[in-house]
Amino acid sequence: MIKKYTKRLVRSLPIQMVIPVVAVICLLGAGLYFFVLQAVSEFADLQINEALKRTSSEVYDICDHNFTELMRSGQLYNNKAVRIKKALTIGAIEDYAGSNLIECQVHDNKQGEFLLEKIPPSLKAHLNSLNLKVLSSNIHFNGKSYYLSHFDFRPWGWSVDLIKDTAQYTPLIRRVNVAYIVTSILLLFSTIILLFILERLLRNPLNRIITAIRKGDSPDYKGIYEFEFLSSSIASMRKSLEERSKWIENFYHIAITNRGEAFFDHIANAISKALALDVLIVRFQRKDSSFHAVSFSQHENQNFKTLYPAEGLPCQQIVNENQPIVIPSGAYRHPLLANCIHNNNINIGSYLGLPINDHSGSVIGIINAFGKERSFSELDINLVETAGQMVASEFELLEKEKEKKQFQEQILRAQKLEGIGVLAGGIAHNFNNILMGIQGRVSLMLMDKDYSKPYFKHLKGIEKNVESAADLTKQLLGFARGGKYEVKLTDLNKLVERSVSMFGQTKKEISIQYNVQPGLWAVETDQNQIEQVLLNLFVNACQAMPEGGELSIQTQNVMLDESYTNLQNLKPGRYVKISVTDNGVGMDEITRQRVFDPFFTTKEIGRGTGLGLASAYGIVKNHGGIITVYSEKGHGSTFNIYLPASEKHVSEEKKTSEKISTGTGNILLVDDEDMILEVNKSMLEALGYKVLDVNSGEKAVKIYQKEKNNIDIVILDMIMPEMSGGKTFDRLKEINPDIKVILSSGYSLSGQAQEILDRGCSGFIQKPFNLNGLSRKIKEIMEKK
Amino acid sequence: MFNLPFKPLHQFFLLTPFSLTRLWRLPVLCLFFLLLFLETPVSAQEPIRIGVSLGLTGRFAVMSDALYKGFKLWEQHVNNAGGILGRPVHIIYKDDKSEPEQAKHLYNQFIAKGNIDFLFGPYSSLITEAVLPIAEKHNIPLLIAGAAADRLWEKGFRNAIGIYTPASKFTVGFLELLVLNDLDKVAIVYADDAFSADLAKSSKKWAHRFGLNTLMYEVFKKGKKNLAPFALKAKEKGAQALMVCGHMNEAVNMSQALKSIEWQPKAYYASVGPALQAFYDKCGSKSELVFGTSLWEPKANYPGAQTFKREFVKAFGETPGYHAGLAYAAGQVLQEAVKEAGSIDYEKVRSTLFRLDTMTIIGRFGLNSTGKQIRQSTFIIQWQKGQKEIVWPKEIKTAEPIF
Repeated sequence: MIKKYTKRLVRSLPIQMVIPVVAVICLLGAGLYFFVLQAVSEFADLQINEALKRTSSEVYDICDHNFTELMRSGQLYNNKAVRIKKALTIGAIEDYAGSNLIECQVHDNKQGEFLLEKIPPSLKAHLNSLNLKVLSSNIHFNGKSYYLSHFDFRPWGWSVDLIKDTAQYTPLIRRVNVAYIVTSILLLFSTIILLFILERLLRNPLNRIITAIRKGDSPDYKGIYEFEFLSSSIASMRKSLEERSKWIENFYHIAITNRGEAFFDHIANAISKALALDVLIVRFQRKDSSFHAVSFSQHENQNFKTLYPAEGLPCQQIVNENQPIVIPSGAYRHPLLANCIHNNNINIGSYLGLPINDHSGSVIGIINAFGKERSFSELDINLVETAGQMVASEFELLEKEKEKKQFQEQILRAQKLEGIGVLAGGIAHNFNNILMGIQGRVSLMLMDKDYSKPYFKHLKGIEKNVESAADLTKQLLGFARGGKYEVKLTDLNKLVERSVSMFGQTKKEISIQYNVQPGLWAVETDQNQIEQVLLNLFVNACQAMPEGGELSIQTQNVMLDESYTNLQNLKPGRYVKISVTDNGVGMDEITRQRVFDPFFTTKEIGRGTGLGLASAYGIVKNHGGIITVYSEKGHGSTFNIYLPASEKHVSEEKKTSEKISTGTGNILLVDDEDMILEVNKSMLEALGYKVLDVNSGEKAVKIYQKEKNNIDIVILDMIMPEMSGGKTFDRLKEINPDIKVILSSGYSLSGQAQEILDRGCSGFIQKPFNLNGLSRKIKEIMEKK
Repeated sequence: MFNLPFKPLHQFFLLTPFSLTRLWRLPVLCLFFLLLFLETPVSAQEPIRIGVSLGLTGRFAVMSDALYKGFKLWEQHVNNAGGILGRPVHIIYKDDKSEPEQAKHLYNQFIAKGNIDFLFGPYSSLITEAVLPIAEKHNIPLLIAGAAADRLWEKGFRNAIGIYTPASKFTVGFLELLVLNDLDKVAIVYADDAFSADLAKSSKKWAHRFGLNTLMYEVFKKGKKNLAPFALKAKEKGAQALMVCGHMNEAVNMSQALKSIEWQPKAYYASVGPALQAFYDKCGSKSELVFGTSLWEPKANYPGAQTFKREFVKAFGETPGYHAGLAYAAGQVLQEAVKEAGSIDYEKVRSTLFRLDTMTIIGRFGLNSTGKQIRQSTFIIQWQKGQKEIVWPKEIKTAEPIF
C-alpha cells in the first residue's frame, strides 16, 4: 500500500515537473555561482597584481625623481642635503602608499635599518621568514591573501616591499555572495509559489477531471479555460463513444438478425434515426454504370417528399472520385445537388454521401443522407462509414451467393447436357454405323466410275445425303463432346482467317472486321471441329443481322486467374480468346441463358436444328475451354471462346492427298456388325488388300495368333460386345508389340479411343468413312515405322 | 523649484463673501508680485545651509573664534558674489563648548532637523573624531578645517574631507631646519589628545628619517599647566631642540616652563600657538625665537590671500591667523566643488571633492583616496623681534631661522 502510494507520489505531476525544474535551476545556480565567484576572484587577483605592479613602478619613480633632483642640484655628496632628500622621499613613498591603501616597508641595506615600516609586525615576521627575493608573488597569511611586490633602489641601497591584501575586493565578493543568497531565497520562494500555483491551477482541476473519469462520470469542470475545454472535450468524447457503442450494438443486432432487403432497410432506418435525415442506399453496377436504389428511409421529421431519390444526387461524382461529399448547409444551392431541387422542388439543407467500397476498394454503392441543415461530426461520418462497411459486406455476400447459385445452375445444366450428350452420342454411333454401311456400299458402287449410267447420279445423291447425315452426327457428337477426331497444334489466327474467308464469300451483306493478335499462342485442336464452331457462330451472327451488319472477330492471348476459372470450372493459365461480335438483334436474358441448350432455337421450324451452338459449346468444352456469351436485346451479342494455349509451337502442315491410294497386304478386319464387316471388307479389297474378317475380338485374337506374320494391319472396331476393341487391342499387343492397329468407331476420338491410342494403337478412323479416307489412313499407318 | 516662504498663493484668492470686505488684501497681493519681480535671483532662492559647531567657549575658544570669523567672512563674500549655483549660503553656527559630546549632539540635531545641506567640521581633532561617524552614517561630506590628526583619515571614512595638511607633516620643515643647522638631538613632549599624539608620533618618525636623535619622547595630560619637569628633563638629556606637540595652551605653558627653569634650547618648537598673534600676546618676550607651524600666512601670497587679510582686518579689526584662513579656504573648496558638480547632491559633490585640484587662499587643494589633504603646504614660522617670520620653506622665507 505504502509502495503503491509512494509510486503514485513519485509519478505525480508536481514531483515530475517541479523536481527536474528545481534540480536544473539549482545546478545552474550552483554552477553559475562558482563560475562567477571564480571569475570575480580571478579578476580581483589580476586587478590587484596589476595595480601593485603599477604602484611599484610609481614608487620607484618617486625614488628616482628625488635622487635625480638631488643629483642635478649638485648636492649628491652633501650629507645634509642627502639626509633631507632621503627623508622627504620616504615621506613621499609613505603618502603614496597611504593614498593607494598599500602596506609598505623601506629597508636601508647600507645602514641595516628600516626607514619605513608600514607592515603589521606579524606579517612582517612572516615575510622575513619566507625570505622572498622575487619581484612579485602571492602569499597567504592568517587566512588572508596578500600580493607582494619588491624592488631595490640601488642608488641609495634601499629594498622596497609593497604589500596589498585582497580586502579591497572583499566587498565585491561579499556582494556576489549576498546576491546569490538573495537569488537563492527568491528561487526558493518562487518554487514554493510555483508549487502552490501548480497545486491550485493544475493539479486541482486535473484531479477533479480524473476523479470524475474514475467514477465513470463525465467531467464537468468549470474554471480555467484550458481545463474547461479539456473537461468538456472528454465529456463530449465520452458521450460520443457511448453513442457510438450504442449504434455499433444496434448495427451488430441488425447484422445478425437481418439479411438482404431487410438488412438494408434496417441500416437505412438506423442511419436516418441517428442523423435525423433521409437515407438512401444505392447500389452501383459497374458493368453498365447504373445505380439501383437498395433502400430508402425517410426520417419522420422531414416534411418534404422525395421522389425517386437517386435522381439529382451526386452519385456519379462519388463513384468517379471515390471520395465522400459532405455539405452541411445550403446543399440545395450546391451545384452538385442543383438537379435535385429542380426535379423535386425540395430544399435539401445538408447532404452526406459516402462511397461503399468492396474489399478491393472499388465503389459498389453509396450511402446518401440528406435533409434539414445540420453539421456532420466525425462521429456522424464514422457511423455512416461503419454502416457502409456493413452494407459492402452484405453486397459482396449477396453477390457471392448469386454467383454460387449461378454456378450450381451451370453445373446442373452441364449435367443435363452431359446426359443428352450421351444419348446423342449413342444415337450418333449407331447412326454412323448405318451410314458406314451406306457410305461403303455407295463408295464401292461409285468405283465403277461409269458416269453414263443413270443410277450414277442417284448414287452421288445418296453419297451427298450420307455426308449430310454424317454432318448431323458430327454435330451430335460435337455437342455430346464425344471427342476430337484429329488433334493438331493450331495457329488459331490462320484457322480464323480461313473460316472468315470461306464464310465471307457467301455473305457479302455482312461487313467483317477482323482483328487478330500477332504471335497468338498455339492451341491443340481438332481444326475441323473448331472451324465448325466458328462457322456456327458466324451463321448465328449472320442470322441475328437479317438486314446486314457488322461482324467483328478478334483473337488475343489472355491469362485467366483463379477468380475467373473457378467459376467456369477451368484450370487457371494461358488461354487464347476468340471473340465473335455482331451488332444484330441481340438476345433477352431468357434466350441468353438457354442459347447453348441442344435443340433450342429461335428460328422458325425447319430452319435450324438447335444443335449449332450446343455443338459449339460441346466442342469447346471438349477442348478444355469455355464459350461465353454477352448480349443485350437490340445491341448485339458477343461470343467469347477461351481455348487453353499449348506450350508447343505450330509447325507447317503437310498437305494430304485427295487421291485414292491402293495398296497390298493382309488386313485383319474386326467388327461385330456384319453389315459393316461386309462393306468394309469390300472396300478394302477394292483398294487391293487381302482381308481376313472376324466379328469378335476373341476370334481376332485367335486368328492373329496364327497369322501374325502374315497380317500387316488390323482394323479394329472399338465398341463390341464381350471383348471390346480396347481389350482385343491389348491382347493383340501382347502377341505382337509392334502390331499396327487402326481403331474404328462411330464415336469420335475421345475417352476410351484416346486411351487405346495412348496404349500404342497406331491410328483411328471415324465411321462413316469413304474409300478415300480409308485408303489414306491405311497408307499412313503402313508407312509408319 | 520655487519654495516660497509665503502663504500659498491660492489662499489669497479664496475670497469668501466675508473676506471680500477685507479689501486690504488686494494691495498686498500687488506688492507681492512687485517684490517677486524686483528681487535678486540669490534672495529668491532657497539658501544652501551649512552647519558647523565650534568651541566658541571652552578650551578651544581662541582657535574656534578664528574659524568662526573665517567662515563668516567667506559666507559674506560668497553671498555678495551671488551665492553658489545662484543660491545664497547660510551657515548655521553652534557652540559645542569645546566638548565632543556636545558637538555630537549638535551635529545629530543638524541632520535630524533636515535643514542643512552641508557640514563643516568643528575645531580640534578630538571633537572632529567624535562627530565624523555621524557625518559618515548619514553620508554627508564633512569639510574639516579645524583638525589635522592623521587618524581621522585612517579609519576608512568616505566623508572626511581634509582642507589642510595633516599633523604628520607639521614638523617636517622644522626638522629639516635642524638638519641644515647641525642640531641632531631632539626632545619631544606632547599632550595626550589625538592631534598632539599624532603630531608627536609623526615628529619622532620624521626625526628618525632625517637622521636625528630623539633623546626624549614623553607624554603629558592635556591641560597640564606645569611643564617645567619635562623641560628640565630635556635639558638634562642634552637636547638641542625641544618640540612640544599640543595646542595654544601647551605652547604658552612650555614657554613659561622654559622661562622658569631658565633654559633656552637651541630651538624650541610648539606646534599650534606660535602661528597666532595671541601667542605673542600671551607670551610677550618669551615668544622670541619660538618656532611653530603655520598652515597659512598672508605673506605666502596665494591667490586671494591678501584680499582675505584685508577684508578680515576690515571686518573684525584684527589680523587673521591661519585658523581663519583655513575656515575661509574650506568655504572656497565647497563653493568650487558644488559649482563644478552643478548640484548639492552629496554623492556628486563628494566625488567632485575627491578629484578637485584648485587654489584657495591657503594654497593648493587636493585629496588622496582617504580624503587626506596632500597638496597644501605648511610653513615654519619663528618669532623674531616681535615679528612672525616665515623661515621655511626657503623659497618664500621672510627671514633666516635663528637658533
